[in-house]
Amino acid sequence: MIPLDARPRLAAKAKLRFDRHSGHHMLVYPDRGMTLNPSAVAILELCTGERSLTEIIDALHLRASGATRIEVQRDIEAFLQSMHDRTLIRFDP
Amino acid sequence: MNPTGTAPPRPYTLVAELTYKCPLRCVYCSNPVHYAGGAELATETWQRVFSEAEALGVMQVHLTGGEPLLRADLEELLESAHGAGLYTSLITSAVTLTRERLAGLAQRGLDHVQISIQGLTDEGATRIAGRSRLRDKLAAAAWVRELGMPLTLNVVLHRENIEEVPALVQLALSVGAERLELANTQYLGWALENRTALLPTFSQIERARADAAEARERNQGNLDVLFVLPDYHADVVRPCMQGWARRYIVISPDGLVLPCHQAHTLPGLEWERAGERPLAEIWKSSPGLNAFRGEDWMLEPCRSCERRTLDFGGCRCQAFHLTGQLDVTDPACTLAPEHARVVEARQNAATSSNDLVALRYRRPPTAQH
Repeated sequence: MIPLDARPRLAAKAKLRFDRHSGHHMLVYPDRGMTLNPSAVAILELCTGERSLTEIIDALHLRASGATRIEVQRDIEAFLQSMHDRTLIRFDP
Repeated sequence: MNPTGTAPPRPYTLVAELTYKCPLRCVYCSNPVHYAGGAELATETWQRVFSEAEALGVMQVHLTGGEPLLRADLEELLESAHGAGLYTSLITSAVTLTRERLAGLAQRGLDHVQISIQGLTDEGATRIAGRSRLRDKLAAAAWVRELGMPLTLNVVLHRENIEEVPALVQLALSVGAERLELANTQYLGWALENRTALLPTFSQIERARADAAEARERNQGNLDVLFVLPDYHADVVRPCMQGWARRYIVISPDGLVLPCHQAHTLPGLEWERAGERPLAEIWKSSPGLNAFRGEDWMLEPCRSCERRTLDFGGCRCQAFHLTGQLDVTDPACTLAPEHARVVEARQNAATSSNDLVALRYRRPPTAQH
């Protein structure tokens, strides 16, 4: 469970890059890369270490059309947890 | 073969072997055993290669060698690679690194540093690499972190250090590494020359694998612990380079455009040189690169095997160096007709004593500092 006051940020090794060949964003990290869908990009762009998880959920809930806040929260938490498990997102200061 | 007109696969990673020169002489080095030594590519050629690689789809470049720090133009090369939009990794032993030089590289956009560790004791490191002191590595690792860059520690595992996995994990944590790459020796190049001395026993590998898995679990989210299995003890073969000339472009110091670090040791294949024509043309139509693309070249049991799209038939270099044939199934595969050769090497490892075996070293270092 990610604490709501955690301030997620990309791991130093991971860089968000626009891939001009595919037209998608990619997360590039040592020896690997991951193609991101638009909602993943929207979340990662807010993971600067400055915003808390609550603030990120609020910001994306405002943008989400039709989704309830709890649905938005669940999606964000699941995504960030999986990225954290791959050492691509950090919650520590 | 890739008929003219077919689009080649998209490469994602360029492995730029800037030089074969190295202050170390590691007994498992993947550099060629017999290297006649052509002239190294000029600065401008590498710079052109970086932008041509980006245009082909490459997202990241490994600046490696030999020891890339021995290229006096490393700063210029890094600047070009970064300027071309590539994610840049410096793959170094850090033996000749200074803080000042690293700061200059950081300033020019270096994204990631990988430092190799040859041993936890000076005695062990000297035996494996000739010279390599842990305290120099620790200093270099600290500079990487102070300068705000992510750090990978890389350790090649072999019989003499494979029991040190827990200590290596502690070391990685203590220097603030984000990744720890525990790569079992792949028995090609110098490592094949030294196989009897280096190949661990099955129980050593099982233990190390369990230690690495436990460390991975315990440090999830904090340290990425990668354990690269050795072919000789795995049940299935590695998808070597994720397929021949598919996702990686390797360019040797003298400019050969290759599918892997070792391919130019294979006989009868024709390679092209970077700079002599555009990289996109070479990538598409080099006879060597097309030789083992796709599945048409495969023999049985690969040809009808359901794993062929996962492992691509294994490693061509290993197939050749163990059997003398280029297109047979990698003998590391349990289904390979020549699998007995790997089983035999494994049995020799299990029964040989723990005494240190004499090692064959690379020629004396070509650069002294």
